[in-house]
Order: sequence, then structure tokens, then C-alpha cells
Amino acid sequence: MRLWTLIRKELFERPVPMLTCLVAIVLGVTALVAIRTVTYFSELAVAREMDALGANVLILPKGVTVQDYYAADLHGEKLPEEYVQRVALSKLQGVDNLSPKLCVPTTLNGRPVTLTGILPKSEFQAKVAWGGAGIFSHPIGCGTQAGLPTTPPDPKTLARKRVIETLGPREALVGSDVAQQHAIAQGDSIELLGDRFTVLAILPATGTIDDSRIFAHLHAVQELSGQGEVVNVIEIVGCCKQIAAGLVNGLNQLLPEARIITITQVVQTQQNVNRLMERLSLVFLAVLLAVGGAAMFSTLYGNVSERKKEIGTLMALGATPTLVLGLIVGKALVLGTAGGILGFALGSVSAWWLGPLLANVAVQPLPWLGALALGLAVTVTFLASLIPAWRAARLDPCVCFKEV
Amino acid sequence: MRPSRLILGIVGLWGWLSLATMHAEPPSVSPGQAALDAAARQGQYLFVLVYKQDDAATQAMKSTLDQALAKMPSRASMTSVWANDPAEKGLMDRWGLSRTPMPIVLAVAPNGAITGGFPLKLTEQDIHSAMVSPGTAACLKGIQARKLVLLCVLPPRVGQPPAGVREFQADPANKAMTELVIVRADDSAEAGFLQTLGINQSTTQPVTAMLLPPGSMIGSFTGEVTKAQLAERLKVAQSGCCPGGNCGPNSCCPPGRK
Repeated sequence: MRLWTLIRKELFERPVPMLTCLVAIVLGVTALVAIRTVTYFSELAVAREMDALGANVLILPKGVTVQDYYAADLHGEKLPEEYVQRVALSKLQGVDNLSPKLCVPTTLNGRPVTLTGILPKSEFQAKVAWGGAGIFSHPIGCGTQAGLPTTPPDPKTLARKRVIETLGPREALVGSDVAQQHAIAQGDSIELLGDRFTVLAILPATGTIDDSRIFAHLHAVQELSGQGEVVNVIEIVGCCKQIAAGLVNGLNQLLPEARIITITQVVQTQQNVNRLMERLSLVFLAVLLAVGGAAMFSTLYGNVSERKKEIGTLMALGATPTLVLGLIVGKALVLGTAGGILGFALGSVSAWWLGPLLANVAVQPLPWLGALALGLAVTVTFLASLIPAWRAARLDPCVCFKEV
Repeated sequence: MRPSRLILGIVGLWGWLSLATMHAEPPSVSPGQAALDAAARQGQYLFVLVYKQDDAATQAMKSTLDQALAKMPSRASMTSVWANDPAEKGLMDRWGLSRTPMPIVLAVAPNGAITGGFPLKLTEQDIHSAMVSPGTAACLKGIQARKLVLLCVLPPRVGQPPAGVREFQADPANKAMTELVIVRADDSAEAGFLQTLGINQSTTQPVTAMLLPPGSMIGSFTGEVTKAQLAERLKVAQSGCCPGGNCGPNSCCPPGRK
């Protein structure tokens, strides 16, 4: 009889203890895969946000807390718009771009929509050049963007760079979701706050709350909404080296009435959750090693002890110790492989369901995690089977029959 | 009436009208603009105090200006402009001061460049720092006009900028956006400015620095430089990752990008 046939028969000989082992392994792998998958995609989302927003800094009214960078202007509190000019006129190094925002709820074709007032760069960039000879000592690549007249401004840069070069008083930029919902195209005329705006561009989808907004000139939004010369937030696209060198402290001194936070602080909570989940995945790895391994060891050990007669008979019929060893180890490996595959499948499904709930991220199966899970499960079961298999292989058939 | 008298009368009336027209006042300029024009004619710096209310901050700034400028009457003067004065609307719009914190003091060089803007508070040190060298003022004027400034620092025995610089500027594609500023390396007035830019005053070869709005030196070339080299440097500066603000978390550029 071939080894594989023996293993197959052996697996179904006493199925309950084997099933218990399998469940222990599957549960361990499932938990490990689910947590690692969600953590991986959550970390990826944070990294993507950090990369896209770079070294951004937010100037907010005191007391406002922010969990989501893209919704930082949706708190209703206000700052004077003159803060923008104070920053532009300051000699602080590392301020690459400024983007003040004011959010106003309004309706478009009878449906609610968020209108966000933004200030184009042309409105304050000239003042940066009022800094005297000192402006030329700013580091290359920090605090500057070549704004030559020959460079044609692309309004869609708002979606990617968070700033826009120019924007007319009755021009609007429409987020992709709003454009889709209302079938708006570039060049259309839309009515907002009782006035007509020309759609300058439809912004590319960003996957953020910005997709469901309409952007217009800050001063137009202030005027039409009667809000006055205020903003909800001022985003600063800063140079990271300068932020490390004290840009945030400089801003705190310049605007003591405001709250200055960096993108790093905004994503801090998410990073903390990620760290916690990463540690949790290590705990589950330990559980998998301990519980799965112990279950497999005790089951196989007990199995060998209970079935000395059968093993002895097998050996008396000509089975070599190597065959017996292979039988026990093979059974464990089959269980480990099945546990790894099932655990990966269940863990991936759990992560797919839990990802949006726990970390607000969409997840998909990670093949490398599948390989890791399979490798771990097989290794644990293999190690757990070694002693019982060795013990079975050393059984003397005569002694077995004598005991019987 | 005799025709000769009629003709004489018409000629006389025409002459009187002509004289009256000749002596008429030119279109009125605002007091602020008049002060700017006068300062430019005299080669002086003008410190413009723009205010909305004659409050303590305004008074403090005015007092600082009075005290500092009294020590250098030939070099600088000051004027006050009420931001809500309808006559000054043109000036306010040109400088974009409608949303600026007030009071604010603007330092205007004789060439019209703004060499300093000081909102809410002003020190004597600010006043001195705003009075920059002619070369700096020329560069700032170009930058404020959103132009690429090619600053050529020429050693004593070199008469003109490198050929590549002249070719670059003469190119119709670059002409409108380029400002050429020439500074003598041995000009003591420019020592501080050249030091800021890291240019050695004792250079024996011409040095060409490229300055971009809103104010950063994107490169410098010692000796001869070609038009292609200048164009390439400009291209790199405009396509760099950090100038767009897309800084990575730990460095100015993500790995592999410059």
C-alpha cells in the first residue's frame, strides 16, 4: 500500500480529534490573515495619504480636532482670512503653497451639495516675493514653484496638489461624484447660492470627500453666503525638511490664536490603530504556534499511544520505521496544508468584510500572506508531529503484541 | 460784425482754449501714487503705511518710521495711505491689500519693486533690511512681475553676459518671461546680496544665477553657459517633485525622484 493511500485512510480513521486539530489551525491562521490583511491595507492607505499630502500642515481654529484630513474644513468653526496674508508675508521658510477653504452647504438642482471656497495661488503668491533679498536664500526645491506666465495652469491640479493657480470669481470646479450625479460637463453653467457659475473643469476622482464637493473662488463663496472674510481651514503645503526645522513652531508663534497641526498628527490615530493591530497579529501568531502546535502534538501523541497495536501490526506486516514516520508526519502535513489554505481563505473573506468597518479601507487577498500562512501552518504541524512520529517509528512490533 | 473781426475773435478764442488746455492739470493721481512717483524721481525708498484705523498699532508703526527715517532723510521717505480712501483704490487693488492685516508698511524701492511687507508691527531693523541693493531690487522687480530673472555677475574686465544668456533671452519663446539683471562682482553695494546667493565676489569668470518666482535660486553657472543648459535647468526646476509640494514623509522627494 502506498504512503499516500495510508495517510488518506488514516485521516478518516479517527476524524473527530483530527477535525479539532484542523479547526484550531484554521482559526489561528484565519485571525492572523484577517488582521495582517486589514493592517497592511490600512498602512498602505496612511502611506498613500502621507505621500499624496506630503508635509502638509493645517491651520485650524483653536479647539477643533481633526480625524480626517480631507474633512478638516467641515467643522463649522472659522478663522479670519487675513491669516493667509500673514503667513504669505512672513519670512517663514518651507511654506510651499497655501490653500484656505470655506465650506458652505447649499443645493444643486434641489439636492444638497458642499460648496467649498478656495483661494487661487495668484491671490497671494505676489506677496511671497515681498520678502526682500532673504527670499533668495530659501532652499532650492522648498518654498518655491516656478510660476512663470508661460506655464499654462491646469485647474485639475487642485485634486492632486491641493492648490490652483488661477480661478475666476464665477468659475467652479466640480468633484467627480457630483459631476456624475448631476451629469455636469466642463463648460456647463450651474446655479449655486443664487448665482450662475461656469464649470471650469471636472476634477479627477480622488476617492476622498473632495469628489462630492464643488469648488469656487473663496471671495465669491464668502460674498454669496454672507459669511464675511473668514475661512474654516488653511492648508499649508510645506517642505518636510523645513517642517522638521521648525516651520510648525514658527506658525505657532505667528498665529497664536490658531491651532497648527501636521498631517502626521492627523493620521496619528490611524497609525496607532495600525500598530495595535500589528502587535495583535503577533499575538495571534503566538496563539497559532502554541494552540495549533499543542493541539496537533497532543492529538498525534495520544493517537500513537492508543494505536500501538495497529502500528505494531503494520510494522509486523513489513512497514518500515520510515514508512510509519512518513505516515504520521504526512498526516500532520496534510492537516497543516488544509488548515493553512482554509485559514487563508476565511481570513481573507473576514478582512474583506472587516476592512471597511474597522479601518475604512477596502482590502483584497494578499497572495504573499497566503504563502506565509501556509508555510507557518505546515511548519507548526510538522514540528508538532516530529516527536509522536519518532515515537511511533521506534515501536517494536513484538513489544506491542506482548502488551496486547 | 465785420468778417475780419469774427475771424480774429475765433482765432483768439482758439488760442485761449489752447493755452488753457496746455496749462490744465494732468489727470489727478492719488496722494499715494504721487508720493511713489516723487520717491522714484528722487531715487529714494518710500515706506507706505497703509491703515484702516488710526489706532495704537498704526501710531506705533508711524512713530517707528518717523524715528528711523529721520536718520536718513536723503535715502528714504514715508507716506500714509488710508485703505478705504476711494482715491487710493487703484493702489490697493494693484497691491492686493483688501484682505491684508492692517496696518501694514510696504517698502518700495526707487524702481517700483516692493522690498518688504510688514503687517501689524514694524521694527527699525525691518526698515533697514527692506532697503536693499539696486541689484536686489532689480531682481525682486523681475520676480514680482512673475519673470525668470537671469542675474549675471560680471568680474571687472568682462563687459557683457555670456553668449548663452543673451541667446536665451533673445529667443522669442523666452523674451517675455525673462529679465536680465547685470551686477558687477566688485560692487561693494551688492556684496551682501551676492553672499546671500553664495556667489564669490572675487570671481574671475562671469556667474549666471537663475531666479524663479516667488523667489528661489534654481541654479548658477560659472563661466560660459549655453542656452540649452539654461533651458534644461528651467525644465528640471518646473518638473521637480518638491516644487509642486509633493514631498514625501521623510524627505523632499520620494525615493528615486529628483
